[in-house]
Amino acid sequence: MDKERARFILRSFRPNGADVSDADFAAALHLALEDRELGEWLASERAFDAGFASALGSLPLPEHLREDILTSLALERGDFPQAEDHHDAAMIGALSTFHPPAGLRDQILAAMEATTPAPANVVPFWKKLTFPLAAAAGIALALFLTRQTQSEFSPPTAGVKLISSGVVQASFVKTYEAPDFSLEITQQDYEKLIAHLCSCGLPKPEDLPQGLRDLKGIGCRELVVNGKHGSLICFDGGENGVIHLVVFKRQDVMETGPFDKPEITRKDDWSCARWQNERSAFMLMGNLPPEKLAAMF
Amino acid sequence: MSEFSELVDAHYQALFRFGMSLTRDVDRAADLVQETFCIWAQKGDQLRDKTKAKTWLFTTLHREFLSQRRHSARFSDEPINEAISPAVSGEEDADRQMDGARAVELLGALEEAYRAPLALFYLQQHSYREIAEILDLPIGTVMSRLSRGKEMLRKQMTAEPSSAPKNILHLEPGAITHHHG
Repeated sequence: MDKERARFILRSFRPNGADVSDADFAAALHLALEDRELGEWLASERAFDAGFASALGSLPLPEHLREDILTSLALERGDFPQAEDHHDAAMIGALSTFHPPAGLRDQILAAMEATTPAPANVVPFWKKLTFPLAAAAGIALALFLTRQTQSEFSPPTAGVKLISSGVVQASFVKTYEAPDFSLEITQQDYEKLIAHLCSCGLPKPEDLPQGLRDLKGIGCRELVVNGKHGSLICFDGGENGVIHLVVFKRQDVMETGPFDKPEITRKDDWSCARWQNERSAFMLMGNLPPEKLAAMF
Repeated sequence: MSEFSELVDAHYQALFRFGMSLTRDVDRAADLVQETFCIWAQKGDQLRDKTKAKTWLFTTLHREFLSQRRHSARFSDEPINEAISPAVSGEEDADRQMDGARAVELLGALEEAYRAPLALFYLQQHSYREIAEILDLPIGTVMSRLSRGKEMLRKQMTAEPSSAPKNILHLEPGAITHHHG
């Protein structure tokens, strides 16, 4: 090892001596012991570093920082009841005076029942024809009655069996941002994550976008949205933060993205790319600009 | 809360100083520290090796800083927090002894690539290998940045005050107060 190399290594040697037992520095320190010039340089370097470290360590702290952090943590964990101010109370009181139109609940239930598909067993062709007609009539009736009683309110109509990509996205964000969010397994090896999902009977991606292939895995878990079971795989995207891949069976999701290339949207802080293949619907999400997400494909 | 209190007490000061080195803004540094601990409250239980908590906290703070900077033009190299950081004249600057504010000022005047590795090095909490892990950089890159960054720092300290970059933060040592409720 020459002196220049030793200097280069010793510039990473902490002035408080915390690295003294680190084998990486042993050879360079040994050379500094034998070479007077290098030894003097090291002493000067350490004196400079110690002075700067001491100055940085003397930076005063905000007066209430510690208390503020502890209070935030307590609130985060629900240890303190959230104070309800007068404005909140007034709004809550005002909203509670609204009542849904009479009979709305029954109408919704009737419409939902009418849209439920018939059992899988063989049915006469005339039933196949009349059932959708009855369902449509039921929905139309429910819509009509509801609009009669409360014109501003539109009841849910169909879609009780499929989930929309918007619902998937919202459910994912809610799940991920919940304080008790956890992964079933944490693992960097993507193949092991896939093996876990397979063992749970959950959908898995057959292939990954180019930009995900080199990322380390973080973990995975099941994601249940309105009774549909999907997979969530989290990747370490480096400075892009955590990248989340959500996979559902294609037949479970309506408004799936295009086949050929992803459709990228942005909502709040989340960018989302959605696409599909013959078997699955995919959503790739992260707290990063849409163009960075697009660059992963 | 005792577990949290212990974690906070062990790391919040160094985290704040790291945040200050990155943002050069008291309120933003304090916010970053709070957010980092809140993320810990949400996700810290996923960390299996609890001895890695310190590295995890610094990594998270740095990622939060990068994330916030991406989403906002507020984290620029412009002077900030003018209300608590009156600029001083060149003569006063030259005479000022090295203190925390001056250290932050000097770090802030460096190119950004050198700022975080040097701040972590001078906080002395992490080895260069751990710094590489926190900043998600190759070890060799961290060593190069420490080596070059320290040279720059020395040059900057010996340079004429007038040649120092203008986009640096001036902080009065006793002027730091937390402005959030």
